[in-house]
Formats: sequence, structure tokens, C-alpha cells
Amino acid sequence: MLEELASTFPILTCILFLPVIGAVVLWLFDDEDMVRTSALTIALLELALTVFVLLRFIPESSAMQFSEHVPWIPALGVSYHIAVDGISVLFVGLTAFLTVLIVIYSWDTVRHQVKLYMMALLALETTTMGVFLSLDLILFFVFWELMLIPSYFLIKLWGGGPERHYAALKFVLYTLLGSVFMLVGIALLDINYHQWATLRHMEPTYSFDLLELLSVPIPLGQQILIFWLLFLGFAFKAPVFPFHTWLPDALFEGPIGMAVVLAGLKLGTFGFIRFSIPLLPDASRSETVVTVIMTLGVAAILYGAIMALIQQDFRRLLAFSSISHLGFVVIGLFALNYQGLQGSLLTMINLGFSTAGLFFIAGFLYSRQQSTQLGSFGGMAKQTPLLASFFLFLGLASIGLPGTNGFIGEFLILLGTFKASWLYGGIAVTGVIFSAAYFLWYYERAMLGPLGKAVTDSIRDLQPREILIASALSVMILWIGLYPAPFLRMMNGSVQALVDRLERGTVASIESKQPVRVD
Amino acid sequence: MTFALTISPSDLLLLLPEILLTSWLCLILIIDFSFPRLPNEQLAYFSIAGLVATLGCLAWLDINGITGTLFANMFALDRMALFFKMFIVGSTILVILASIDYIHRFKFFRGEYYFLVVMSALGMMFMASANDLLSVFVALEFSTIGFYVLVAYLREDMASNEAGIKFFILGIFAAGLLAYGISLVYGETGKLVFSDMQAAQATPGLVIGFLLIFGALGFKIGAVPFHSWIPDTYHGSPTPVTAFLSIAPKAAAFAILIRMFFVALATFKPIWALLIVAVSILSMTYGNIVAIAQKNMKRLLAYSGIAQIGNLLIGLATGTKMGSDAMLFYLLTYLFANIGAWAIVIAVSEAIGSEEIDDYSGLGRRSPFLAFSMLIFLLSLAGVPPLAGFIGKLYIFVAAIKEGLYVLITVGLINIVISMYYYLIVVKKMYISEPHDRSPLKISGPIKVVLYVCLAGTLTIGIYPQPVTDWVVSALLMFSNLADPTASLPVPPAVIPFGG
Amino acid sequence: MGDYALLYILFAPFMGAIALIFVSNRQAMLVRGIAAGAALVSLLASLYLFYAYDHVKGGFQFVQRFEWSHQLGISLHLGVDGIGTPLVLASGILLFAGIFVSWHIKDRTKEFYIWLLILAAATIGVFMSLDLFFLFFFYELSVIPMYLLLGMWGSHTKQYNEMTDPEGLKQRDSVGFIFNFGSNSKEYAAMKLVLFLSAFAVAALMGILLIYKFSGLNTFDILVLREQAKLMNIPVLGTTLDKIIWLLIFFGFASIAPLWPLHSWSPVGHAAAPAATSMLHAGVLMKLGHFSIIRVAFEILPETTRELMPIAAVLCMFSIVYGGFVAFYAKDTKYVIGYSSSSHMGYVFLGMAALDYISLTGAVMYMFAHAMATGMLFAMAGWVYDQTHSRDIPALGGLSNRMPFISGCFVVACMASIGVPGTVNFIAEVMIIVGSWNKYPFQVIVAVVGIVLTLAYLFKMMRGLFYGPMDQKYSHAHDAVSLVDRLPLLIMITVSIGFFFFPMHLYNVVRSGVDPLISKIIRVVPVASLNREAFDVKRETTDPPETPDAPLLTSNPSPLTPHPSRGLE
Repeated sequence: MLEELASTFPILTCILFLPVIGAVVLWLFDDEDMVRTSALTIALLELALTVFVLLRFIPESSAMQFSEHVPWIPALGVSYHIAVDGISVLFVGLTAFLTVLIVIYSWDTVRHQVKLYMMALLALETTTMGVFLSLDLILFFVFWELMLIPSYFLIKLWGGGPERHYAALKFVLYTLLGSVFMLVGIALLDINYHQWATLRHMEPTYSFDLLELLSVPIPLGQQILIFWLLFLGFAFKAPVFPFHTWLPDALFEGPIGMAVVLAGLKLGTFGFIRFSIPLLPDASRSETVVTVIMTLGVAAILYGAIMALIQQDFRRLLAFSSISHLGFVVIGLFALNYQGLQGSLLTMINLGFSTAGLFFIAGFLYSRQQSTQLGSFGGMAKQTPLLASFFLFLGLASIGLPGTNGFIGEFLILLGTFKASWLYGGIAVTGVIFSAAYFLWYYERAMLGPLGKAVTDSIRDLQPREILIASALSVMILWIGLYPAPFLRMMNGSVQALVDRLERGTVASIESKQPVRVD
Repeated sequence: MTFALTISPSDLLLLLPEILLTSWLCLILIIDFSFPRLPNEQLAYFSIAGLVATLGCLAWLDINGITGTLFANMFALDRMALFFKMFIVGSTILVILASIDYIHRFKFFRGEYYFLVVMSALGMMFMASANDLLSVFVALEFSTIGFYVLVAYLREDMASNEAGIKFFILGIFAAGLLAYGISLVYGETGKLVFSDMQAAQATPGLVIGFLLIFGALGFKIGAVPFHSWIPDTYHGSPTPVTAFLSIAPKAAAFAILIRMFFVALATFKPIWALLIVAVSILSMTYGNIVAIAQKNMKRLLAYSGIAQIGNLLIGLATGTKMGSDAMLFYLLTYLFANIGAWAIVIAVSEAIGSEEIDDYSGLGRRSPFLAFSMLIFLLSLAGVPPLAGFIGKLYIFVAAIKEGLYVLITVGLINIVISMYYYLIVVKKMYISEPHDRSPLKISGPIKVVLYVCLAGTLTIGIYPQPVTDWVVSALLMFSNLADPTASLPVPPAVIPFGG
Repeated sequence: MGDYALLYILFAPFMGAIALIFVSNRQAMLVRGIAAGAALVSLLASLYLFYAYDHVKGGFQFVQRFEWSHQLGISLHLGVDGIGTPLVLASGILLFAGIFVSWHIKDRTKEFYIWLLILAAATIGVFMSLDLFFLFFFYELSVIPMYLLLGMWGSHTKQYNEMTDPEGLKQRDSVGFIFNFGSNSKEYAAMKLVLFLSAFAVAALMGILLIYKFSGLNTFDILVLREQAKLMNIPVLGTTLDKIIWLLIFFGFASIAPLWPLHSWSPVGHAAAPAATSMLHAGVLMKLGHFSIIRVAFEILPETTRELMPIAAVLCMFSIVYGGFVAFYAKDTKYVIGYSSSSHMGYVFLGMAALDYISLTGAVMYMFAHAMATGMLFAMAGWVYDQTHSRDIPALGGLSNRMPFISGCFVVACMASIGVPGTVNFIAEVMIIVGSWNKYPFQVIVAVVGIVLTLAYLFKMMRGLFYGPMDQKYSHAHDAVSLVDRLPLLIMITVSIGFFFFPMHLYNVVRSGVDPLISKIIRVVPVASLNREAFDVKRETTDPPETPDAPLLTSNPSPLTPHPSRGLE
């Protein structure tokens, strides 16, 4: 029935291309306010569409829903295949949600080349949506790469820092560096399929379709090779610990809006859970892979936390804290059990609210002090009580205070990790403590205590628009924190299927054809 | 031996072109001294008229396929002879046209100039149909005497005199070789007519004799190691004479070479093939490498001429019909490119009074037409498509590879690249370097005509060589007995040249 | 037009050149008009050719045959298959774009367009000639115009201009060929280019002559030789003849490609050439090498190709890496682009070396894609040079404020050259990688590293040219505003992006040309049995036998590939 709905009305395609079409429309306008309002309407429309999808989405099912499939380069087996399942559907919602907030935030903070900015932002939304929606690896890669172009210009043209050109270039180069290896990995998957299919005289002989590739048994050696190739691509993007060096620069130099997207939408880790783990279960289970990645994850947690502890600049602190959080996500993923996967999936969503929220806070601070250096704050709580309280709330959420969404996610992850191995779990726990330390310490120095020199009396508290942003985030945080059931129910089906897939591995999956497809 | 000199009118018919030209020669002399006031242009056009008439006569003979032999085979008029005669007469016409506005440099004997040119042309026509050793010797000397004078025509010019002396001494030496060789051959075989010698045995005397004859002819065509007179003579002598010297005698000498090697010595091919391969390799390589270092246009063309002779000898070395076809074809392409290039040298030296390559700087700006024609001719000499020279070289290489002369071809190919270098140096001067003074050059009418003819020839042969190939193939049908891989292929009916 | 499409494409530029001879240089607009008109005819005809080519039927189409010289067995035999067609189209597009890119040439406009048209026409001629003689004929014909174009309208390098002492200059121009470190005059570059290409061309000619002799067929016709020439197993010099011929042909033509050790003329030439010439040179002239190798070596000596093609697989790595690194450290815009092109040609060789359906198709598509990408880059490098009279990257900078349009297009061009999704280059790269992995995984990795390098130096150049501080002496530089200036870039961008979204027709056409070739090469049969096939111009593609036991050797064409049209539903 849903299939028919999708076939009758290609809602995902609308979601996918609405923003970019909107961007073209913006191009026609000249009046800046006109541009802003229309951008906002487009973003809201997009949000409405995604909400509709979320409502019509059948929870507790691992089915690929709303799926649309059109051949693109049949001879190569490349097709335009998009769909949502429990893994991706929430990200779609999150992306739309954050975009709306960014548009609102940029209303008065972005002053030059507003039109271009909005166009780039909307283009970015499309490509991000594309990454979450596509099931065809080439299509996925296409969006993955195209994302760089708007990002590059967002950082380069609207970044605040002096080094923004450098940062933009670094960001693009690193990501592309990773993604070319990923491309090879994708090609290998295709070649495997090709050999497997030609032996069985199956049609088509080439395919990049996730669902088709799932049915191909791949020898373990190849799996591990492909796994590392894909890993490079995702790890650079995520970024996982040793590949992270571009992140602080990009977040610090880039505009707040870009930072929100980079820190809020965990594309890299999404790549793991979407492609690496289901396509290469044997490799993902294999001893070396798990050890290496777990170690990296734990290292990321500690390294990020410690680095965050010593940062003077709030945005750099956030950058490192999000590296540390990513460590959690990674170990959760590669605990390879139900709780772990579910936990990290939820945490990815949470970070979209809490970390992104903190970046908005950073933006608020920046627009008041023209800096996010610790030196320019101090005792602001007296002057700006609202700001301070939202700041605190979002911070606690990112620490994982019970009652906030962060708690659920981290709790599940730790649960899963302990099930997997005491050692990693034990170390990971300390990360939580660290995060509390660096955040509260910074908060204490920035907001409480005597009034800082740089802080003038004329400093304004949150404006209505800012309040709107902050409260919207807080509502979501509380909702997930207090009543996560609906979100979890959306994931469960797919996560369960993933766990089965992991237990069976590819070799077994030949006779039971395509385990993920339940419908 | 005794000659039965009974000449019937039909025999005279065979001699018609020569008779015509001889009488015209006398006319030229008479007119010259009877009307001393006559401007020499008139005389030039008069002699050209005679040559054109001769050409028409030759064409008529060729079309009607009138062939035969005279004086007990001393004089053979076959289609090859006709080809060479037309070739020679045609080149003479072009040369006279090109020399019209050069004449004023001669203080005296302006009329005799044309007389001498036409006379040596006549001698070469006899060379073309010389079918036995005596007539070879007589015709050769007859044609050369004219050149002895022509080369030294600029009496005040030391270089010209030096050239004259060099040419004279070496020419006499060559004549001596020739006479000695002929006597040896005659002593060994008792025969003088080429066609009779075919059965002869290779006795030492015979071999030496033919070596000597080949040496003498080598001087004529200026192949290494008999080239030493070429650069200075070319450099010193009046440019039109050089142009004449660089094409017509060589063609005539090749006519003799072809007769000698393909008819008289056909049976000894394996032996002389090696000799000619060696000479050809030497000529190509030496000519091209030395040409690189030249600063003077005339010397450059002189050395490139030596190299071109080397290319021609490839065709001779094959010893097949196809090889000889290729040679004739190549001669035609060489005629147009070479005379054209010389004509431009004349024009430029008329305009700026210099023949140094450096003074060709910016010719492309001063006279686009001259520069463009020079470009075409040089590239044709280098062998670049779509120009005649390319087809000529390819024709020769194809003929050679069918005989499996791989080394020769390899050397030839390498030489193409070398030659391209120095030809392009000139092109660079003309087009890329900036001129010393930008005043445009004026070109006289006759030169323009020559250039147009040569351009037309170079381009048409290059773009559609079929008629010319048909012509040369049919001109040499008498050699189709020679070993030739393509002999089995159906040889097309000979089409008539000059659109008959 | 119909059957005569090829003649239109080939002779329109020639006619244009001849017409231009009779026009005076003073009527500049008329000159440009004639040139543009000729190019437009050629372009339209090649578009028609591209879309009228029947890829289901495959084989050689639009065949024209005129007896040219029966003594030598030469005929003007024209025809295109799936491999020639897109390249002809690319040439048509680049010529048309080139006319407009060089719109502002003041000095001897007429001569410039004459030589440009001849150059393009010769290039097109190679892509459509089915006769070895004419293939070589046009190949040589394309070299001389390069000399004049470089020499007369080219530009010296910065180092050369900085050299003042006349002695030094003389030495630079003199025979110092092989070792020259980027500081050379345009005359030097031109001479080097011509001599290099001619030297290797005669090697190829030797190979052609050998084929001519030992086939014993007294013909240069590729289609006849392909079916009937028996060149295998003739022992000479301790090896077999076919190997010698193959090597002569391969290296003779690989020099223009340019394959690694033979590349050194190419960047020098690119750097010296005026923009339009570089476009044609890097866009299509280089592809003459690959194309001729495919047309001669692959068609006539399939067995030997299978034996010896690994040579290319080894050398292409050096091409890619060497070119990439030099481009990264080069300071001169055109050197960067030139080396990047010669590095990218390595991918084509990789795709050819793998001898796989997908990879070779990818290689041909890459030739097409690269023509567009590099054409754009050179066009814009030329624009920047015209505006600033400098190609020195360190000296330039911040031009994005002066020329937003150009800098915008430059980003697109870089993306295309890198092969970022959104441009047809991406598809081609994916196909090369997919197709070559089974045979040459290591080379594929190298190629991927090459992509990263490309990324690095192109971004480096983009920053150097368009961002950062701007030297005030360039404040007069202005953007491409008029349609004439924008048109070429827009055309190439449109093509490059359009074929990304609708690649099927291109793919099918190329595939229809590749299938018979590869199936002939990878099929292990004695040569004798090849001759049983009747000689026909339009051969149906033949399925090689399935080899399920060793799938890693050759990826068989799927049952659907003989009818590539199936892709279109």
C-alpha cells in the first residue's frame, strides 16, 4: 500500500529536490527580505514534507519504505533508487529541522551576499538529503561529493575566521581524499556482484544497488579490503579520531550554519551503519577490524575530551567535544549488538539537537561579543539569564544528564559496549565524566563568577528569534529524553534486521535471499 | 662498325623536337645580333615560345605513341625519353621565366644567355634518348659545355668565376672518367648499345668500366662522394643558372642511369643494388646533416639537393619497375618544389639583394605570398602532407619496402626528420622572427607566373596524384618485365597526360 | 546531408580555410565570421553524426570510399565506428569553441584562423579515416599547423622573458632539446613539438609500411588488413615480426598521447600555444595517439595487443604520478594544465591496457570527457593570460573579484577535471576503475592517488589565481561579459554536465565500437580462424565463450551488451 502511495506520489523525490529548486527560485529575487522569507518558506515546506513521511512511516519494520526506483545507467547497473528505513528516516527529519533553524538563525547574522548564502544552504540540504536517502552506491557517492561544493563556498565566503580559505580547502581535500578510496571500495563491491551475477547468468550483470549487493557473498579477505576502503571514506567525513584534523578548523573558521550541519549531521557514522556493516558483516565482525576501530573510538573519546578541556575558544571546545562524542557513536556501532547499534543511532540524532544547539549558542555569543574566546566572556549570567539557562540546558543534554536525550543514547551505547567487552566500556565511561568536566568548567568560567572585562552592560539577552531556536531544540531534547519510545520504535525494525544480518553474515545469506527486505 | 645513314622522313619525325629546337636556337642568335636594341624580355619570350612549341611537339608524339630508334639504336625515342624531354623542356621554360628580371645583372651577352640555356636544354634532350655509350658521351658533353659558360656568367663576381673553374675542372675530370669507362666497357663487350650488353659476363674490366661511368654520372647528379663541386658552384653561379643546374641535368643523368642499370645491367642487379644503397645512404645523411649548419639560402638548397638525390637513388636501388616509376614521380615533385624555391631566392635577392637566411626574417609580414609559397615548397621538399613531396617520398618508400630495403628506408625516414629541422628554421625566420625593415617586397610578373605554376603543381600532385602516377607508370611500361611484386596486378591503361 | 555527413565534417574547415585565403585581413569580422561559419557547419554535422549513429547495428557507418591511387592501393576510405564518433563530436565542439576563444586575436587574424581550421580538420580526418595511408596523412598534416600556431601566436615562458642576455637566449633556442627546464621560447617549444612528433610518426610509418609489405595485399585499407592480413609468427631478429610492428605502431603513436617517457614535448607545447590551440591540442590532438593505437594496433594485431599491452599498463602509472607531481610544483598555469592532461592520459592508457569491455569504454568516454574539461581549463587560462599577460601563479591572485564568471566556470572545470560527480568524467573514471581492477588493481590504486593529486594541484592553482590578495596592476582585468566570450565555456560546461545526467547514448555508441574489438582481442583462437569471417564492414558483435571457471581473467560481456540499446528503457 505504501509502495503504491510512493509510486503514485514520489514524496521522497520532492523532499530531495525541493530545496535545490527553491535555490533556483531564490536566484530570481533581488530583495533580501524577499529572499529570506522565501528561503524560510521553502525550508518549512521541506520540514512539513518530512514530518508527513515520519507520520506515514511504519515503525517496527525493516522495510525500505517510500522507495522509488528508476534506471539511470542500466548498462552499468546505476539507478536512481531512493527510500527510507528505520535507519535513515530520522536523519531526514533532523536535516529538515536543522535547516529551518539555520535559516532562522541566519536571518540577521548573515549580512553580505544573502541570496548566495541561502542558495548554498538549500543546495547543501538537498545533497545531505541525497546522502541519507539514496540506496544506490553511485547515487550516494554523487551526493556525498556534491555536498562539498556548497560547503566549500559556505566556509570560504561566509566564514568568520581569518583562515577560512585554508579551512575550506582543507575540508574539501580531506573529504575528497577519503572518498576516492571509498569510490574504489564501491567499484570493488560492483565487481564482486558482477562476477557473482555472471556466474549465475543473472540480470543485470552490474549493479550498485544496496539491496542487490546485499545478496552477494564476498570472501572475507575481499570484505576486509573493501571495508577499509569504505572506512577511509567515512572516517575522514565523520571524522574518526586520527582523521579529524580538519574539523576544528572548519568549525572554527566556518559560519555557524555550516558548523551546525557539520557537527549536527553525522554523515560519516551514518555511512558505517548504512553500508559498511550490512554489506560487509563478516569483515565488521572480524577480530582485527573490531579491535582497531574500538581502539580508535576509545582514543577519540579520551583525546577529544582532554583537548576540549584545555580549549579557550568555545567553538574549538565544541569541535573536540563532538569528536569525543563520535567516539561514543563508533564504539556503540562496533559493539555490534542491539543496544549498541540502537544507542549510537539515537546518539547521532541527539547530537543533532544538543551539539548543534550548542553551536547556535556559540553563534549567539559570537553575535554579541564578536568572538567565542573565553576572554571575552565572564559572569554573563547576570546580564543574559535566558541565554545562560539555555546554554546550561543544552550543555547538560550533551553531557547526558538523565532526563535529557543524551542520557538515553549514551546509556544504551555503554550498555552495548559492556556487553561486548568490559575493557572498552570501562574506558568509555570515563569519557562521560570528562565531558561533564570540560563543559561545566567552561560554563562556570564563562557565565558565572564576576563580570568579565569585555562584557559591557549594553549586552542584550536573547532576542525572540533566538529564543525560538533555543526553545525548539530544548523541546525536542526533552521529548526524546522523557519519552523516547516513538523514536526507538522507528529504528527497532531496521536495527533488528541489521543484527540478524550480522549474525548470519553474507555467506549464509545466499539461500535466505535478501534478509533486510521483509515486506 | 658501319652506320647505314639512310634517314627517311618518318625517322626525321622522331627527331622533330630536336630539329625544331635547333632551328630555334639559330633564330635566337640571328635575332639577337640583328636587333641589338631589342629588350631582352622580348628575346626571353621568343625563346620561351620556341620551347613551348617543342613541348607541344613532344606532347603530340607522346599522345600518338610515336616511338622508335635511330642510327642503329644510338638514339631511342621511347615514352621514357619523351617523359624526360618534356620534363627538361618544362623546367627550361620555368627557369627562363624566372631569370627574366635577373638578366640585368649581366653586363654583356644578354642574348647569348638564352641561347646557352636553350642549347644545354637541347643537349639534355639528347641525353634523355641516348641509348648507347657514344651518344651518352656526346650528349653529356654537349649539354655541359653550355653550363661551363653559364656558371661563370657574372664576370665581375669572383665567386662566380671560382664556381666556373671548379665546375669546369671537375666536369672535365668526370668526362675523362666517362670516356675511360666507356672504352673499358667497349673493350670488354665490343658493344656500345645498352640493350645489346644484357648477356655480357661480369669481367673485372666491365665492372671497373661501369663503376667509372657511374662515377661520371655521379658527378652529374652530385651524389656523395661526387658532390664536392655542388655547394660552391651553386653558391657562386647566377641563381637562375643554379636553379637550372639543380634540376634539369640531374633528370637527364637519371634517364641515362635508368637505361644503364635497368637495361644493360639488369642481370647484375644484386651487385649494383648494394653500391647504390651505399651512395644513397651517404648522400641523404651527409646532405641533410651539413645543411643544418648553413647560413646561406643557396647553400642550404644545394645541400638539401644532395639529400634529395639520395632519396631518388633509393628508387634506383630497388631495381624494380615500381622503383623507377617512383623515381620519375619523385623527379616531378622535385621539379616543382625545387624550381619554386629557387625562384623565390631569385625574387628575394632581387628585392633585398641578399641570399642570407637571416635576411628572410619577417618575410611573412613583408610579402605574405612569397613566404607562403616558400613554406609550401620547403615543406614539400621535407615531405609533409598534403604536398607532392610527401607522396613522392612515400611512393619511393613503398617501392623500396617491397624490395625489403629496410635499412635504406629507416635511414630515409630518419633523414626526413633531420631535414624537417633546417627547413623549419627557414620557416621560423620567415614567419616568427620580426623583419629588420617592414617595407613590402615587389614581385615581378614572370616570377609570379613561375610561382603559380609550381604551387599548382605541388598542391595538385599532392592532393590527387593519380593522373601523374598513371603517366609515369605508362611511361615506363618497357620495364614491366623487371622483377616487381606488383607486376601481377592489372596495370591500368595508360591515360594521356596533359588532359589529352 | 545523411550519408555525406563525414564529408561535411571533414571538408567544411578546409573550405573555410581556402575561403579565408581570399579575404583581406582588414575585414576582421568577415574573417571571424567565415571561420565560425565553417566550424558551425562541422559542429552541426558532427552532432548529426553522433545522434544518427546506429549503435544497435554498430560497425563502421557513414562509409565513403574514393579510389585515390591504385598503384599504391590507397583509397580515401572514411567511416566512423562507436569509438570515432564521440571523438569527432569532441573535435567539432572544441573547434567551434576555439574560434570564439580566439576571437580577440588582432595580429594576422586571417592566418591564425586558416591554420586553426586546418589543424582541426586534420585531427577530424584521423578520427574518420579507415585507410592507414590517410590516417598517417592527416596525422602528419596536423603537426605543421601546430608549429606555426605556436610560433606566430604563442607566448614565451616567464623565465625566458626574464632572461636578458642575447647569448643565453641563443643557447635556449639552439639544439638543447631534451633537457630544458621550463624556461624556453615559443620557437623552441614549437620546434621541439614538431621534431618529436615527426620522429615518432616516422616510426609509426615504418610500422605501417611493414604491415603493407607483409600483408602482401597491396592495400592500406584497415578493414581489409584487419580481416586478411596474416602477420603472426613471422620470425625476425630473434622475435616475431608482429611484435616489432606493434611496438613501432604503439610507441610511434603513444608519443602524441603522450605516454610517460615520451611526454616532454607536450607541456612545453601547451604552455607556448595560444589558448585555442592548447584546447585543440590537449582536447583532441592528444587523443590521436590513443585512437590511432586502437584503430591500427588493436584492429590489425589483436593477438599481439593481448600479449604486449601490459607495457602500457606499466608506463601509464609513471604518466599519472609523474605528471601529477610536476603539475603540483609547476608555477605556470599552462604548465599545470598541460602536465595534468598528460597525467590524465594515463587513465586512458590504463583503461586501454585492461582490455576489458567496461574499461575500454570508460577510456574512450574519458577521452571525450577530458576533451571538455581540459578545453575549459585552457580557455580560462588563456583568458586570464589575455587579461593579465601573466601565467605566473604566484604573481596572480584575487582575480575572482575582477572576473566572477570566469572563476565560477573555473570551479566547474576543476570539478570536471577531477572527475567529481556531476560531470561525465566521473562516469568515465568509475568505468575505468571498475573495468581495470581485475587485471591491474595496483594501477587502479595509483590512478586513485592520481585523482587526489589532480585535486591538490587544481585547487592550488584555483586559489593562486582567483583568491587571496590581488596585485593592483591587474585591476584593469575584466570578466568575460559578452556572449562571444561566454559562449565557448557555456557550451563545454553544458556538454560536460549534460552527458553526466544522460550518458546512455554516449555509452551505447562507444560500447558498440568497443564490443567487437575486445571480443576479438580477448578471444583465444589461432589467427587462421579469424580469416574465415567474411570481410564485411558492419560486423555483428560476437560473444566470446563464457569462461565461468576463471571469471577474474576477463569480465565477459553480459548477454545484453550486444544490444546496448536495452539500456534505454
